[in-house]
Amino acid sequence: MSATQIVTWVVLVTLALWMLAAYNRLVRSRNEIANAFAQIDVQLKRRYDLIPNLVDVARKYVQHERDTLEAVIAARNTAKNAGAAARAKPADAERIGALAGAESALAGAMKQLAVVVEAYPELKADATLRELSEELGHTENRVAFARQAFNDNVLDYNNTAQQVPTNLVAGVFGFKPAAMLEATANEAERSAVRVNL
Amino acid sequence: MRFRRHEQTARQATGHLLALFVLVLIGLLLAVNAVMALIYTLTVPFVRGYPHLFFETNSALVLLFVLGGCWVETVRLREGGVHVARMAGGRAAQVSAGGDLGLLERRLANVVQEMAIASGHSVVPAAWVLPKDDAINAFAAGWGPDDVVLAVTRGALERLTRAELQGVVAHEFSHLVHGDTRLNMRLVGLVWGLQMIWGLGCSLWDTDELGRRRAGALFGLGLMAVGSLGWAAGRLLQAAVNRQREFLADASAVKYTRLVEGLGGALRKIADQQLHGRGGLQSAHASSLAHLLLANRGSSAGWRALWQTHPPLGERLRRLYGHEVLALAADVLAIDGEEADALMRVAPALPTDAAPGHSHAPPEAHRHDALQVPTSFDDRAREHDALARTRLWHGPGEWQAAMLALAIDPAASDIDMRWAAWQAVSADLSVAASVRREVVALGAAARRQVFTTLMQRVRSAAPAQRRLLWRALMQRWRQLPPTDASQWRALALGLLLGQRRLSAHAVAIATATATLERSAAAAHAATHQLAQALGAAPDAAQAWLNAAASQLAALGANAPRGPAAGLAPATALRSLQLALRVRRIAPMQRPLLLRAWLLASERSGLADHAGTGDALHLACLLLDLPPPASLLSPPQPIKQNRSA
Repeated sequence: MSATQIVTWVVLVTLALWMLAAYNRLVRSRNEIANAFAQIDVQLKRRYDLIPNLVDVARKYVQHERDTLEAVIAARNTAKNAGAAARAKPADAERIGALAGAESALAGAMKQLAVVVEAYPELKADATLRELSEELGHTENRVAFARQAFNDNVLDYNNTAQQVPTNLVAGVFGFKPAAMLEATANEAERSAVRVNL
Repeated sequence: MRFRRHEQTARQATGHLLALFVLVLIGLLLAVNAVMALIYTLTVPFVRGYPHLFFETNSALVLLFVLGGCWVETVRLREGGVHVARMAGGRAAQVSAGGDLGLLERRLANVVQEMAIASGHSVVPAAWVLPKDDAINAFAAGWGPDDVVLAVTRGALERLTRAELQGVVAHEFSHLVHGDTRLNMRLVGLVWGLQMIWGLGCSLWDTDELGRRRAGALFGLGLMAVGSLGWAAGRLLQAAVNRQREFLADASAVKYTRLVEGLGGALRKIADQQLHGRGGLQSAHASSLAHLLLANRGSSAGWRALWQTHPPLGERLRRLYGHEVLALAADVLAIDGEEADALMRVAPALPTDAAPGHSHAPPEAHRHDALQVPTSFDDRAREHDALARTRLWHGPGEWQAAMLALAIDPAASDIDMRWAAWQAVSADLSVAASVRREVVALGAAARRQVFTTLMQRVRSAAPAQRRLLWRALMQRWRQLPPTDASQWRALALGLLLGQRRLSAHAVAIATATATLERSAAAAHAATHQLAQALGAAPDAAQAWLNAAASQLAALGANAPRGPAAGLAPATALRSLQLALRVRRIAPMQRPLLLRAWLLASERSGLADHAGTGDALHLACLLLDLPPPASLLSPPQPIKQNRSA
């Protein structure tokens, strides 16, 4: 084997190893995105599960405000159903739009509830409600952080997939750039559920 | 996006420093060889050349010392996060506790979960609190996924806003995500190895008993010189790496929270505490934890700054904000304007100047003086109110009273008499009376819920406090009639408090076994079906069947029949052993045993009986299993459809 041949082989093997590493890096990074997306879904669901508890506590004190409580529950149910529909087909813009609308309706109803709570001092004093409000804030944070982690992962992935020379590997194996999550579809959704208890 | 740039700078700086570390090692290797060769030439001048394998031996020796030292030190430091946190005087955050501190600790646990999501770290560390420390600080420690602990001082909980706490926790998460603890331990090990070369030199240079130096003394001197230089270089590099990792963690904390004011506010408050000389930790082990902490006090000027594990606070703040900032007053915060207001309503006597080391909830007596009789007449609402108030119990007097009150069967005809019997020896009458009022309002399930919470809290109390509680309880317990089925709780309490002298509870144990014995036959059938349902792996099923059968035999067939009061001492001792055997079941089999019990109680129609629920509940506590929700929630006890 001549020196040229050896050099050629070394170069080829190094190239192959590098491609392998680059491919694996891309796959890992893409899977992290999928995982981060699933996290968002988990957190949204958690929020839907929490709202009935809050309403239950409030119901004990504010018998006369049945309308407000019913509105919160109804909005929550709509949002939950819209969420389930969107989950089944995430690419469908119409379903995502419906979810965004339902979420903003829920936000409005929760605001109304906050106003009601303001008027009932003994409700504000309820220990369970205090814990629930911490819990609700916590849930909002979890949703927000899950979205943020998703976008961070997308950024890392896109950086890897578009930088020279990894973009060659990404091109050959069809790693398309991923889209960031547009957290806000409309103005109403931009304001998260806020309960000032 | 300044934080991304800072993150990258810190990463690159770490890389350079680590490369320097390798260079130091190579330099050390060369220096040792050169010095050895020189001394050899000087001391043995008439021989040309060097002995066979001279350089190889020198190099191998140095590498053995450095890498071996690294390994030994790493193993020594490889104590779990829980160990480190306990050494620092910490305890697990009480998520279900009531009161101010309970809410704060739950908030901490929540923040830890949020940051796990934000950082994409798959392991959620256990949230711990250092209750004795008023200085704002935090650390993360641990290796494996089961063992990671994130501990925060009480001062940090009380003096930081939620956003600031988030920043602190995010900083610690960065250390976890980037494996900084691991890196630091490796470096500590390497430096220790370098130190050992100096030590070897010392031992060669030392004179013997007669004051003579050995033949190799000069070699020792050479090793000392090289070793000390290497050690100093290693220490400086290690400190420099640590400082870079702190910068990296600061930048990552901003990345996770997207908020400079979070960590920034916390650091400014720490600066304030340090200005007033209140920045130190209480633990005697504080100095060995120094490199783990969020912030460490040290001189920030000149030569000595090079040895610090943490960059000066001013520099960290400058990088965070991009300009100079002032310290922020680190006062204890009210939980929230309105929340504090709500607390005041329950307890008007809220002390404003609580001494450090004390919780800020009002003392027991004040709380109970101020307690109002519930206004609602609905049974469920009353139970709910009482349950909410039990969350505020955290004094030893309340614990004692609650334990005793829970043990009394509210349906018993002579309840008032029993109550009076032990109330006579109770010092805190107002506390006892109000505790009793709450407990009587609780249903069976709610009582179990309260009992579970109390148990968790008692378990994490300091050993001395547990012993005190135990003694006080036993003193009063003897006044209760021994036939009471609820004496099961005495057994659970004894086991959970970790007291060895259980003979006093033989009767309670026997009563409990008798309770379970009633459903033993049904349990046998249920066990069999369960084993068949699991039948995919016949070996496992058979093993489980054997284990469960022996358990049930122990609990049922051998247990004495009839009322437990007239037990012979030998039988009582035997049942004692049997009850202890429950604790020896392998953890994997425990849930299966519990399911068998649940099934059995359901099929035998005993599920609705409060005594069965109590027995099952205590079995859960003894087995370290979370009690099923059906036992703790007010609606009907066990009504699951568990067809095998």
